[in-house]
Amino acid sequence: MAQTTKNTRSDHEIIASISSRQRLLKLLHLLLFLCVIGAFLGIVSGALIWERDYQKGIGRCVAGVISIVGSVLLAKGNKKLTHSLKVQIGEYVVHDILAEKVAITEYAPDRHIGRSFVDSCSILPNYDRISGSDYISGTYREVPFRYCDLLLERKTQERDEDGHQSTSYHTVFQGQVLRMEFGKELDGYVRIREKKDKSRTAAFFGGILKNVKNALFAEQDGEEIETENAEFNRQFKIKASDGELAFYILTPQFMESVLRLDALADGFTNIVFRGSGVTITLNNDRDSFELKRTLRSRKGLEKQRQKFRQERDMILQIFDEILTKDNLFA
Amino acid sequence: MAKIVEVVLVVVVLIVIWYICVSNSIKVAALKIEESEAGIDVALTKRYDVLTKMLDTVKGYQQYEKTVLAELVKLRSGMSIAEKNEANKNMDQVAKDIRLFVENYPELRADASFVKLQEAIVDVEEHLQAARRLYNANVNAYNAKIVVFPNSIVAGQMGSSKKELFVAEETKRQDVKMEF
Repeated sequence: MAQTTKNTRSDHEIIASISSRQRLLKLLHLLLFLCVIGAFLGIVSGALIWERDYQKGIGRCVAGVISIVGSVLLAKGNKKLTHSLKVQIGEYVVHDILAEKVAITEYAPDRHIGRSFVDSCSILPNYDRISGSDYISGTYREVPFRYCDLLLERKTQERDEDGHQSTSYHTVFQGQVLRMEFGKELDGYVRIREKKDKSRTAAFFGGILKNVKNALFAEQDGEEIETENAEFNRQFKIKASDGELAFYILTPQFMESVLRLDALADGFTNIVFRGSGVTITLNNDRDSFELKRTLRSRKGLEKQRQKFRQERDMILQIFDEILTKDNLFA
Repeated sequence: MAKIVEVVLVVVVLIVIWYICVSNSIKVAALKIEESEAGIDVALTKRYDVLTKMLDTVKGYQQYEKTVLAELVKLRSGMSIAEKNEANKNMDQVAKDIRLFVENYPELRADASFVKLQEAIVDVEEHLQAARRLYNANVNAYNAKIVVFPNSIVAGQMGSSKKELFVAEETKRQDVKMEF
């Protein structure tokens, strides 16, 4: 049975539209590869035969330069086509899959959560370059939420012996960002950060250092909390504006939920309760709702839909675990 | 000789620094207990106030009933933890009696002001649980700190002794995974 999207396109039309772009994208990749090789070979061989055969040398160098220009144009086209493909997959396939379980207010496959939100979020690292996709806002189980995939990168500048400066970017966060609003306004904050080093040695020496630090210096940025759940304490570092708020939020049941959520996310989980909502960041190197294979048949499309459904359900399981905090989401 | 004096001086300075660190950390832990005990006081007072209002409402419906409800024990300032535990147990009994009483009165369950009080008591009890867990976490940290050698020497000199926990109601304790 042919399924239709919100744009009333049949599976056949979806496959034709997406696969033609995928084929074009593959062709662009191939041409780009050939242009890069051509540019390298043209310039190197031109420079080598320059002295023996001036005209041939010039010709090869010109061909190399043309290949460079071609590479730049192809790279731009590639980027544009990848972007339009992402939007098309989002609108034709992902939107409907999300709508099966979530009341969507807005879905933008090529956008991410606002920069001002990212800048003010205390559990996201500092960054120089930001990109993202699959921005979703809506309500799930009557709770308003926002979600997106996010990639944050830091710039590194290096200078070699000749004084040439090179700039490179390295990833500091790649994963999902979720924000859920509850009906209450919290008078303070509770921040839960996953510890990167869980080894016992680190905990032992860290404990000695922490005791000395605590004894000599008063804590300035909130209070560090130890709960009665040893496993939770081993895995997460908790800071709160006041201890009672931390224990109000971190009930024994909710701590178990956070541990389950962390296992689902398969990465580093950070959570902050502040103001009228909770923000969860999952640094797991994942990018949701990405089409990796070329669509050829209805069977392939259906398989892809199933994969997207699994990804959606994984995200909704995280929402479900947070929603167990019923004294906030009443 | 001078070297021996230097070594002794260094050792003495280190011991003094260690003593200050340990005594400060014990004092900070004791202060945290005091703060969290104040949190319990606030939560208990709120619970007492809401339960009093609930009892007043229930008694209005009780005119022709013979059901005996437990009386609330008044809170006073300067109660010890044991006394607070007793007062809390008394409130648990009153809350239980009210719940049982309300089951027989559908009109009371539909009463808007009573519904609000029921919501308020749930919230107050959650805050009391949070205050109790924070207090117990602080007490456990303090108790662990003062019994461990060599901290116990400093604690002994400071006259510090083990503090009492604020116990949970039996039904509520079942949900809590204690791993101290």
